[in-house]
Amino acid sequence: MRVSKAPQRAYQICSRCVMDTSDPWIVFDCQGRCNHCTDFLERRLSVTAYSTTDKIPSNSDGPEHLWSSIPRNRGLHDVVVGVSGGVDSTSVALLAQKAGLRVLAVHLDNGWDTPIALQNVLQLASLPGITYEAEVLNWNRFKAVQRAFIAAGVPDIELPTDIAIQAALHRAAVRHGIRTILSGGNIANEGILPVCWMYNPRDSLYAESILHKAGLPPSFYAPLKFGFRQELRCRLKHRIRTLYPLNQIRFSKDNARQHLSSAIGWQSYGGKHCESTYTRFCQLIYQPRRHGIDYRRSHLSADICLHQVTRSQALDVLARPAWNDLDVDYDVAFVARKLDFSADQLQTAMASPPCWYIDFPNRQSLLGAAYNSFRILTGRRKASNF
Amino acid sequence: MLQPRLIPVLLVDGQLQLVKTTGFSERHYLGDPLNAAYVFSAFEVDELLVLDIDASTQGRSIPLPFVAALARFTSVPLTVGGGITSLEQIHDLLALGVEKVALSAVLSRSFSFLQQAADRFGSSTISVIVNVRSLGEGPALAWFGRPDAAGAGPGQPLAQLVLASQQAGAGEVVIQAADRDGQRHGYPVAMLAELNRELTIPLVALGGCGSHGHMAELLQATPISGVAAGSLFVYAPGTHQVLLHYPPSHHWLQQHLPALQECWRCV
Amino acid sequence: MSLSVAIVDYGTGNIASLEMALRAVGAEPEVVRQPADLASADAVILPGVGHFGPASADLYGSGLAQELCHRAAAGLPLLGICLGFQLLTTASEEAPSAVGLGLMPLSSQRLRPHNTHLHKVPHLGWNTLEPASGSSRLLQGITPEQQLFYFANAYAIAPDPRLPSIQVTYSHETPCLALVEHGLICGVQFHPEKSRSQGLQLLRNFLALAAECC
Repeated sequence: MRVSKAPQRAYQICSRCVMDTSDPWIVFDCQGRCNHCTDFLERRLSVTAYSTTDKIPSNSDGPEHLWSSIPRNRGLHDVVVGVSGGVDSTSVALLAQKAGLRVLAVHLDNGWDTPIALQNVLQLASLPGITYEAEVLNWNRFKAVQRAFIAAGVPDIELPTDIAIQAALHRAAVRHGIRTILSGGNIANEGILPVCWMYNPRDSLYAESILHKAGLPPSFYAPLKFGFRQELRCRLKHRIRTLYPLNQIRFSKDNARQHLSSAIGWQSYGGKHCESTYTRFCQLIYQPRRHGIDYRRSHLSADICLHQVTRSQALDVLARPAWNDLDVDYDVAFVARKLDFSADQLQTAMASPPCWYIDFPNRQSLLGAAYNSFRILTGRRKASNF
Repeated sequence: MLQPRLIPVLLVDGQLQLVKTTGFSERHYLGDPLNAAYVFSAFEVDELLVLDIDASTQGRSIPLPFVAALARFTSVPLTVGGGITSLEQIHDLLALGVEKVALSAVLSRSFSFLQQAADRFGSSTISVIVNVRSLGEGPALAWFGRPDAAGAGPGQPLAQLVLASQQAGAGEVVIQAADRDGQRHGYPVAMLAELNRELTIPLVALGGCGSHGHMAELLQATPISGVAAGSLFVYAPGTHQVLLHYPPSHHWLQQHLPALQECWRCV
Repeated sequence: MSLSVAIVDYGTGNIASLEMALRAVGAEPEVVRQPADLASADAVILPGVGHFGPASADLYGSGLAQELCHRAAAGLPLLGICLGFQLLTTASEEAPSAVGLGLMPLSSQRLRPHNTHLHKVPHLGWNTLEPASGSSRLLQGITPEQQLFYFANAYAIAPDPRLPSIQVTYSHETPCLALVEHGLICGVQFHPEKSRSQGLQLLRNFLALAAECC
């Protein structure tokens, strides 16, 4: 019976936001407020437009100063944007296009696309000034990697996709000689996210040890890999940088949904990140069942800090199970079949003791130091989790 | 009135990888066929045609567990094919939840198998795929089995082969224009129109479609029963980049249907 | 409490899709091969594909035909789909020496359109229904624009205006029966289990009809 090295905690929930001991490393102050909302309010928001009371451009215009800082390329495209069909990436692509930038929209096909997401990508791909490219992962190999992560028992079963996206975007940037990647990532929605819920995708040692435990060779990870060394090479040799335009406006997902719908016929699908069947499975079924993690806590806590929702309203939302509107049996059957599990095998895996990133070899302290040094040297502030 | 069917075609290889062919030689990797089937099912396609293109050369038929997954996770009418050679295989495939099976290679060795299958299972469940070389001079030559030129013998005149299939109880014939595969230059309209006049069973066109314009050309010329395509539905329009889609084509057809049906009444 | 729906297996064709569709609308289908298996059924469905001759022989050989007629007379709701619809009638040209259940005074003939350029046989694909003559229970909640269903048939049943039943037709050069409601005995020529949300709605409507009789 596998025992994780994660700390065993008595249940406690933050008195200010709704993060709780489903992050086993959560720290509470004497007033019961957690490190997540404290860090969010005191440090994370400082890189966003929420930190100032200056006039902020509206959702639909985007940050002028940001666009003017992006070099126009001699090649065919000025920026690379990773597009999933979701509201964040679609917003970024559209803002860039509207600002007159020539956009290379790259979609990572990891075998889990949903029809609505694909329709949204098609709408985007049809716009002038946007060129579409697809990077299709080798499914037979990728599913082996996903199986390995489920077998490992860790919550970050989405890590292979997340890192594959980074690898694909940087490859596209290098291939086309583009120096700017625009990310739909934004602190307002993702600024509260425990490291243990989604460990650093850049830590190749972690991912490779999980694959090694499952008996997979490193070659299975190679096409997905984007580690610190690769990132350094992209930044220093190819001078590629990633910008986060949505941090420069007071990005509201609800407003964005409405705007995208009327501008390009964008369609919503309900639920966060459900442009991918696997993401839906991960956040609404797998993580709750195996680790007691309710992913909604993270963005609800950010919403509380930004006064977009009250703590009481957030608790009401959390009172309804994340999987309430799903046909759980169908989703589990589909995911199982895709990953070559029987439904029973997948259920058994989900009922097995949870593990966390610390149960596997990783370079957390080394990478933390490396990234901190990098920030000190370049004067950048920490804009993401790593 | 019965509407023409718009049919995406999914090709899977020996490792159950979704591929798109050009000239039936080059293979472009497209991803996971089960997810593609699920997506097209959610798009509510008229029918989905799934073919295992390595089955007959590898001496096997399209794998049953794979077809079981297709049937389990889709709800659209399904036709599957690839290396089918026995009545037991047809029985097992239909029992999994498939509407029709597609026969081809077996008929070049044993044409009488067609009549046996139609008699046992009903012609509505039996689809026949006929390859044809349509470009260049001389009469169109047709053959069963692998569509690439290397596998083809001298071939028979198209009409002769297709009428024989009709006579033997085929429920429909899919004409695959082997030399137009992946080219996106259009269907062999004149050939298909002429054939459609002679046939009493449904005809489906496959091979060459790259745009709605190509579909329009064909449908205006003849009241063909089905328009099948691979490239059109798997690539972003005008590109070689994977992006599964269907609704725009469906809407296009629905918009043009009344005019087409009027046109056909006079044909 | 979900309804007990029996699907009759007469050794031909595709039951799997029908089972899935019934589960999708909340029923718990059971596949039935012997008369005794019908005892607990609240409703029975005769499924879609195959040959009239062997299917009829199987039904009579197992005793299911007799039991179905007996239960139907006692008010058991029946839905015949495609071949199943034809089996509810008296006979089919497909197998002249075989008999149907005779629960509807109709029979099937091979489709023989004159204009074979325009109208092919089998009738394969999506076709629309002509407006319902009366108020069809099975089509409740399905708007005229949505009345598009998937067909795969070489044989058809001609409408009979003398019958008091609800009859809805499709056109394949001539009008043919798409749907009949003969009291609690219903038949559809098309495949509701493959006909999108409108097909599922039709199955739901049949189950609602059956539930009222329980």
